Amino acid sequence: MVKTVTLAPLSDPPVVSLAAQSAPTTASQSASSSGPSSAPTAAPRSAQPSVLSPAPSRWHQVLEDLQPFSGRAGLTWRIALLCALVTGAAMLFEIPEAAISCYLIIFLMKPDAVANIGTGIGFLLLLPGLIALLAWIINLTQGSTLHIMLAIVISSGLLLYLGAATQLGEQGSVMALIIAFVLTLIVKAPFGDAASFALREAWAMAALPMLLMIGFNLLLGFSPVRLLRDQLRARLAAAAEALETGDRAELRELLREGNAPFEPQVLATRLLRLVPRADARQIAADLRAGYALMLAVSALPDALDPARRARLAEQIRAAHAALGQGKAPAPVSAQAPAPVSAPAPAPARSPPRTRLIAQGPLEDADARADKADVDPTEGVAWDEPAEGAARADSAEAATWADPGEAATWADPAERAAWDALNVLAGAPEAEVVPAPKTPFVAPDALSNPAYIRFALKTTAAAVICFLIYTAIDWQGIHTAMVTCYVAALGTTGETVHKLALRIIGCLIGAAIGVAAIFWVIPHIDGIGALMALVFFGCLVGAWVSTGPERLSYAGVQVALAFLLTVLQGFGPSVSLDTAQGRIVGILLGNLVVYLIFTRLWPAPIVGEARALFARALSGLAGMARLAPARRLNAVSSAAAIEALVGKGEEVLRLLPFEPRALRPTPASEAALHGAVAEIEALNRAIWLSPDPDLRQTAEQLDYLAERFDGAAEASALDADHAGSGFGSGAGSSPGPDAGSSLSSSPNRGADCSLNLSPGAASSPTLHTDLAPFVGPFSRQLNQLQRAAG
Amino acid sequence: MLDSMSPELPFYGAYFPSWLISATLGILGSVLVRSLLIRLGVDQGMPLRTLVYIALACSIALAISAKVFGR
Repeated sequence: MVKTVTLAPLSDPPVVSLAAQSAPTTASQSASSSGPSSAPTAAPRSAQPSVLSPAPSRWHQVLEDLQPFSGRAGLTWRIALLCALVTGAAMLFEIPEAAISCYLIIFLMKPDAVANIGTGIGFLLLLPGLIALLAWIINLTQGSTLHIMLAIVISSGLLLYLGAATQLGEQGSVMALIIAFVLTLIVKAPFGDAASFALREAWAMAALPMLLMIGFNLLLGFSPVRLLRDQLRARLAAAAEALETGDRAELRELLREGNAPFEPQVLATRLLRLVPRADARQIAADLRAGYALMLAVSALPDALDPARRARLAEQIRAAHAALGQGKAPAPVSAQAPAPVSAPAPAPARSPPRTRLIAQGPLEDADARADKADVDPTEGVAWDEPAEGAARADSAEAATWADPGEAATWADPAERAAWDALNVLAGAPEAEVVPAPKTPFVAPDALSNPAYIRFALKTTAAAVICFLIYTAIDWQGIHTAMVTCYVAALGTTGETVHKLALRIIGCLIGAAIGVAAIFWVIPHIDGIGALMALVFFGCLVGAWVSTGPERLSYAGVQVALAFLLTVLQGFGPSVSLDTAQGRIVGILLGNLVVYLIFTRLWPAPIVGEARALFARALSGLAGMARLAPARRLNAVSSAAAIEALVGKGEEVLRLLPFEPRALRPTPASEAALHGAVAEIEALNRAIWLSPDPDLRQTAEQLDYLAERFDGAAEASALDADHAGSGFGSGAGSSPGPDAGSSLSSSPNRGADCSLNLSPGAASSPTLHTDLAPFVGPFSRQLNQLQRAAG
Repeated sequence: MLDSMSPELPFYGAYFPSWLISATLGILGSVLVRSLLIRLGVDQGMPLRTLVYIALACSIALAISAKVFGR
């Protein structure tokens, strides 16, 4: 993952301060600009970011995702211990299906104790409602199989559509799954008493783990305050490391998390009064300042004087250490020596800062708020007298006209980094500009057919699985239907990726479980030993499931398959039926979902990536419309854009899981990867830009966003064509293996030339009306326009 | 004394056990006390906050159980 940055400043002077981020850019530029000559070399590795950097192989990526990180071991043993407790309680109270109860824990438990308690309470409150709904539906069907089938189709179609078209997301799928699953059980036993008994047991199965989760998190959970502090320290460490060694892998990873996942924790800290009010405000400020610091460090010019780089790193390390000891970081001005080459603005701005810091922690809320109001104007006042000349330089440097002169103190990125450190040390932060809210219902919920198609595809897959296992009368493989709901994702590539995770995780978990049945369970004679077995089995699954999202689902599957195999009835059991039924069920579900999601309205990953880029670009346009003084404070917007782009690149990495007919041409794929780097570069440039009027840029960005969105729909239509035409290819490459087998495939060239046709047909018409952009950032904008075309 | 194990309070046509009522009231009471202590500024300096409030909830629940329901 080490980025080579030496090329960038030489080949790309105008964006020198973005050099580090544009290392991939330059690589992709050369790839796309040199066109056919370099494309074939990039092609065989397909979606691997290998085009951009010496990316790790899939196997190395897996190993990397299994490495320990701060907090992972702690969360893992907590989950495993809680699972063992749930197992013990379920055995004592004779609540059936302890495996499902444990599964809820592994699936729902997050690091944040407050979030877990909230989830638990929410479940306890919602469960009666869900049960009432189920009882109502069951009464409506009156036990007729046909009616039940109809109820399954209607309820799951509706819920899947809601999940896809709103922010509910996968929760819609989970609801659909629960209702459909309970209804299929009713088909088997359509008697009133049996149904009400089953519903009561289902309630106990879900309520028991939730109660235990609430209690456990009260006593042993991670407080959000501690998690936020750890997160801040991780950010500081990553920033310091990037400064010292130039290795930005960690920094990129943290930047792409965005800030949004942590905002609920800040909210909980404030609302629940976990800390006094002033501290809560400081925590909220720290979250934004930590992100601003990372963003600023990632935007530092490579040409920056090493001594100043070292000083910044030293200050960040000092703050990191202070936070580790539970103290507030020391005020910046006390330690920051004068800059080497420029007139000294730091001493000029230090006296007012120290005054504020000295008073900061003791002041009450109102006084601090007043100070915060005063601060921005004061800040300007400090700068003016001390560095009149330097400011003139910096205004020029900010447009990156001359990288040589950019090396003054007031390089905007360096200044933003020091400002962020000041805020961490207790200086009041400037007025916060919140990120625009994502609407709950997607704006195109009614106009975009993709949502309905997704709902229909998933429902069809589930009903087909249900009919198959009912027809052959093998209830043991009902996992097939569950598979359809949990593996179904927006695009074909993502779905196949999840199918692969599911089958691999299931095989590993079942193997562990069968091994336990052979060698461990015969020696178990008490509940304590069974709980210990569950603890160690869940340790494995939970370790994987607490990792990055691209792998975590496999861990959930490992644990579930293990638990289902080991926990049968109330006490040790040595039957192998469950393991067998589960593996066969998942294989059947995999097959049906794979066939349906590749044949019926296949949704290419490129469409999703383009939609994400379009959202990022309109976010950028919104940022460009802000007044320059407020732009720097829009850290949340910048973080949201960064997260969107990161998600875009993450889905692009799943391209090898797509059937070949859906994949983009190597050239357009490289262009999309290039777009990632360009948007990130633009994000930093606009965030730091002192340009008073970027309205033109904003309009260009909006235009580009439309371009990306429009092309997304076009490529979806292309895929319809491609999808109907492909067929022989599917037989030769069964789903999950498609990714791993592709590099060895000898007839790749032929596939690539086939793939070229839809792209080639559409691109010339688009390219003819390309007018180059003029104005600020025109280089990146033009690059993006080429990527969109 | 066997009948004392049976559900206690009729409520919307169902019978709720008394311990459930006591536990709920205990938790609510503890939350109430905490909001009071926050307002008084006591909450911030308290050591082992979680344990204190859990113990408080338990004592309220047990007191209600003993005084109101008589066991």
